[in-house]
Amino acid sequence: MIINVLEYLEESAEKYPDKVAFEDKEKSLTFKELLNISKAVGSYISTKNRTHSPIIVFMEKSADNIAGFMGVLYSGNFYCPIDTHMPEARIKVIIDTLNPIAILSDLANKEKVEGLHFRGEIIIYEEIKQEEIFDEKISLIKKKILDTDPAYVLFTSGSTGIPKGVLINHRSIIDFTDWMCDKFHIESTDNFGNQSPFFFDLSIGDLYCTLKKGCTNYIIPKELFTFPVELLRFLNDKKINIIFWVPSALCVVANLRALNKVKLRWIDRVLFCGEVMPNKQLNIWRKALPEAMFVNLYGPCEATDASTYYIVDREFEDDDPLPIGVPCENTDILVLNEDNRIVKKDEIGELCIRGSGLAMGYYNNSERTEEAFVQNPLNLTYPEIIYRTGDLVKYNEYGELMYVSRKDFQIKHMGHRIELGEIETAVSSIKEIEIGVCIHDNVKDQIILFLIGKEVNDKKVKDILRTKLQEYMIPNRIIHLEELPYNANGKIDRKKLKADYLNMNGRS
Amino acid sequence: MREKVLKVLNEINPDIGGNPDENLLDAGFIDSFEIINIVMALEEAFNIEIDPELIVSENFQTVDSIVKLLEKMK
Repeated sequence: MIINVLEYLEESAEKYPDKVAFEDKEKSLTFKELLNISKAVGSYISTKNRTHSPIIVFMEKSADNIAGFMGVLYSGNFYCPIDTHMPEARIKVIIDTLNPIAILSDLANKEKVEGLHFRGEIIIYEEIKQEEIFDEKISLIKKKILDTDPAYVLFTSGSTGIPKGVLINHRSIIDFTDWMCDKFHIESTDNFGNQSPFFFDLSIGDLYCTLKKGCTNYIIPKELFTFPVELLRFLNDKKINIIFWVPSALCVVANLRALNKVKLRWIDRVLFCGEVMPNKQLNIWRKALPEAMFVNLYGPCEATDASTYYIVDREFEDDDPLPIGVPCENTDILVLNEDNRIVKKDEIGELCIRGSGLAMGYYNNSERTEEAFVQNPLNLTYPEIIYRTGDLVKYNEYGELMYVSRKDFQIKHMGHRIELGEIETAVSSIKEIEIGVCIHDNVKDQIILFLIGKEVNDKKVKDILRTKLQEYMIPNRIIHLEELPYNANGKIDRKKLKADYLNMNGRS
Repeated sequence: MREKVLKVLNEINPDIGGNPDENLLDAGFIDSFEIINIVMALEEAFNIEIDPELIVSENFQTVDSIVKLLEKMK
């Protein structure tokens, strides 16, 4: 019986001690090395005599980064990966919410972390990775970990400008990883090519499948995704045969015709999740890899990586939408209409999720937790929580789920989940500006910011926003307007704003 | 030629080209997936098809290296 995810690592280190677990541009760690460093890091942190507390991991994406995560778990605490390029102001908001007992950083980011004026301990990975391992102590701590204890917390965009920390326990990871390994026949001989950043929920799949099955995971250097021919050669060189990427990454490869230049020799499974995958680009991939399995996965990070999946099993026209499919095992999907009843036939409703994959809630934010994690309205007899995704879906004639749109102002941009409200909140802090309204041009996948107020140059606006927002949240275009359209209720008419914009650009 | 390239690039990002020697990759103007917008806009504006083999870092370092790439293709 597996209770915590450290058992994955221990079992693989026992079976394949000298096999490479994770490899980045500069170095690799075998399972045994990974285990030992993780234990050393855990032993060091354990001297704080604190458990069940958050620890921020602020490290460059690397093999060592994984040892940092596992080290935190060995100390009986849970990790929070933070993007090292996140603006300071946003990190501070997260620190305020999280109140972590320590920040684990690498040498490369030491100065940056020190600049945060964090009051707790800053632990430098390179300085403690060789520390003495207190085997007895950490195995006692490990014994006390329940599968209902948290393992990680990931921060996601929040509409009021405060990011929300999605708290995931060991059970949820195990539930997803077991399913993914079974469903897609993951074996120790598989080589993953990791694209997703570790602060992004999509990475959970290839990270934990690697640990569970003893695969090798090649952390692909980010810059290769700009130059797809080199990227595909890398996949061939490393004999990578399974990828689980965000659709934007697959689209770059397809649109720049790289698949015509390099024949992929090993890839047999292509999984994608995180945003809508257009069939136009998927068809290019399918043509290049006719034997490979293609899987469209869907799920919010509040339900651990993915909640539904669709194994591509028939032909699609370029402009057909791709189904998000059926629920993963041990997951139930309820599509509820506005009266909280199950939808009939092809009626549109909100996708709600039930099962072990559900997050424990938003860390230190009971208000937002209670809004989204609610009692199953179909069950009036015992406590049972469902997560309301805010995604509108319907069933197609095959009984597969089809994504329709968002219920609110949340968008997906380059695979990242963004609340337009968070950008607008940041804009409102610029004193020259009266109102800033964002729309998402979903054809071009661009964020458009409309501004009312004194003329401020775009560069200045962007520079200010860069101090508050992640780079992927910075608007692609800024348009100054004299006035905004309003609807009958006196609210800004965002639909009209968007329609006018698309019309103006010849794409209604 | 250079002017036209700059115009295409500025439609994607008005900040590009402020400093002609600036490295577009280091400055973050061409960040992973954004290459696609740049290549497609250039292809449309110049009515060409850029060979994927030429979409490598040395051809996209600066505005001038993009100009050179396009001149070679004429």
